[in-house]
Amino acid sequence: MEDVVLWLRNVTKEYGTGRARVLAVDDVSLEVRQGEIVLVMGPSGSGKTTLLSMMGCILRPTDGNIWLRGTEVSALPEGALAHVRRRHIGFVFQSFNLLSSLSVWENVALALQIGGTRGEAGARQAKELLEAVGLGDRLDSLPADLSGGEKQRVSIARALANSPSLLIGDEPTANLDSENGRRVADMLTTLARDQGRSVVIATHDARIMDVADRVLYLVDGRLAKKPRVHQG
Amino acid sequence: MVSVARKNLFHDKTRLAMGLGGILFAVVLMGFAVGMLFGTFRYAVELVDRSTAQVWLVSQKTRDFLSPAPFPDEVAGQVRQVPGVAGASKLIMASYSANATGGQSSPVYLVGFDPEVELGLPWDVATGSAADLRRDMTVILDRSALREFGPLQVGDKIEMGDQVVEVVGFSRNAAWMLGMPYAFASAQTAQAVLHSEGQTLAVLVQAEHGADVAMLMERLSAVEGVEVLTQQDVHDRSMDAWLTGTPVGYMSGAMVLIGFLVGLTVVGLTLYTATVERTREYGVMKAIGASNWDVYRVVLEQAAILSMLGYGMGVLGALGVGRLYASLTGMGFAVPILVLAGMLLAVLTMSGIAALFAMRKVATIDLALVFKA
Ligand SMILES: Nc1ncnc2c1ncn2[C@@H]1O[C@H](COP(=O)(O)OP(=O)(O)O)[C@@H](O)[C@H]1O
Ligand SMILES: [Mg+2]
Repeated sequence: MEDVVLWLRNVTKEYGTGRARVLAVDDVSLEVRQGEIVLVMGPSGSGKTTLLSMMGCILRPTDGNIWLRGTEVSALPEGALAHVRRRHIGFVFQSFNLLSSLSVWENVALALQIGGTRGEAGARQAKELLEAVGLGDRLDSLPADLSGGEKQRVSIARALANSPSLLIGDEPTANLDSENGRRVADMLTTLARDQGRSVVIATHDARIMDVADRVLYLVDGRLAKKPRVHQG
Repeated sequence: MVSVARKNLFHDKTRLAMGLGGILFAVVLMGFAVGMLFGTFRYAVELVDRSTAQVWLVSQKTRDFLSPAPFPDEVAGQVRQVPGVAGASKLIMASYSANATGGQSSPVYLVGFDPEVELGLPWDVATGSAADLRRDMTVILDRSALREFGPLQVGDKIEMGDQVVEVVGFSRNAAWMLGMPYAFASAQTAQAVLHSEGQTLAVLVQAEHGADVAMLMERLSAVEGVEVLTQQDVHDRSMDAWLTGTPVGYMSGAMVLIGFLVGLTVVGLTLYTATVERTREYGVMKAIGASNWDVYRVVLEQAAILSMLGYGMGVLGALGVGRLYASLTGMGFAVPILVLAGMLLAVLTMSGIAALFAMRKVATIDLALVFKA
């Protein structure tokens, strides 16, 4: 399967031990293909964030294996994981997570800098990415002066900065009103589709279900066999 | 290049001011303490440095250069017989209270020597000459004494104990420690004023032109009861005595330590709170692929910026405070290059230590926090 970007096999994550033990993700297996847009839905506490953290190489599974573009990442040490995140993964967070003292373009340029693109080239690419999300006229603004929708568009530009194979979005529309949420979801998926990137979005937001190629349901950490597939 | 360190540091002006203030305080305090010390003690040994005598003889009984032991002044006569000696002078020194007739009383630092011997004393003579001191009961007074004595002129008399001496000239820039003006006199006059006839504190030797000083010292070591020293030896031993034998050295040391600890604490708190407050943002940097070192560099760059700015301002501040102190008190203030370098090292050390704590914080960030709402 040449075009499988992400492959999870029997992935389990436990937090704590003894009576405080929580089985957050329970024996999940799945694949995400290149260019595919997958939505992970489920009630609060069902393990969506935990699952995405493992896909995003931020958290290691307690059990099971994860391959990203053919490399088993579940076995890598933290230093190597940072390298994988920098090269292959883009993140869009629920609470935006922009750096408050950096301007809009600097936030994107910082991600490029972390990925090894510095100076003039970084500044130019940051501007191009921001133009693509319609923020060409807000380059020098500080995050505090942006609306929620604008902030999330900056973080989309940042997530795309190092041309990742996989975009991870944890509730990217949860802090936005429905109009902005719609716009952000469309922008994220359209850009990803144009550039052939895979996307996994965890969401509560049923209104953006139609952007997905596939919807997975998570209940108590397990994938539920709920046969509702929407074509975008 | 996007500098997160610079942006963060200058974004929060209050914190920047606090961090800079801490370093500024530390450098001003350290610089002032050390500058005062060197300034003061430089004057303590200025006479040694200014004199052109190559060899000094002091009593073998001298334990402490703060109070050299007196010895019989006939030694000067013996020394003159030694081959290779061009001249030998007694040296009598003491701080002594003087009175302008009918006016203020003030201490002066009385120095008696042989005006026939070429010693480079007194220095910076403005009026009169060393030759004038050949006449008995005369002094060349430093002009700084006029602040206390009022307008004195050549030919005026001042009282020193039960003696009256005539002012035959004025020098400039000859103040002993704590701004005490020098009064230069012949050895005889000084002995008369101090009632120390027959005694001297040192014999200063002027070698013959082209004489081998080491050989001369060898020959002088035959003189009984004295130790033979170079000018540099006398300088070093006097400096040592002042640094270790007086509380001033320890006071300065304590001020330096306080400055360092205050600086360390403030910079430490500044860097640490600045890091804690942005834990989430540093976590985000790491989540999107920054290595620990990428984030350490942010902390270190902040420490470096704080250090350099704080140090620069601190040095200017210390020199300013020192100049003010010198002009208000008439006392010496000097910050040698080596001390500037030492303070830079101290500042870098304090911010380096401070940065370590912030770096530890960065290293242990739990990345899961980036997903929290
Ligand atoms: N760091 C943690 N320590 C202990 N339990 C956790 C931790 N993070 C999440 N959990 C628990 O794991 C389960 C799944 O949480 P999460 O992945 O955040 O679900 P979701 O994103 O769907 O709300 C919940 O029961 C939650 O309380
Ligand atoms: Mg969640």
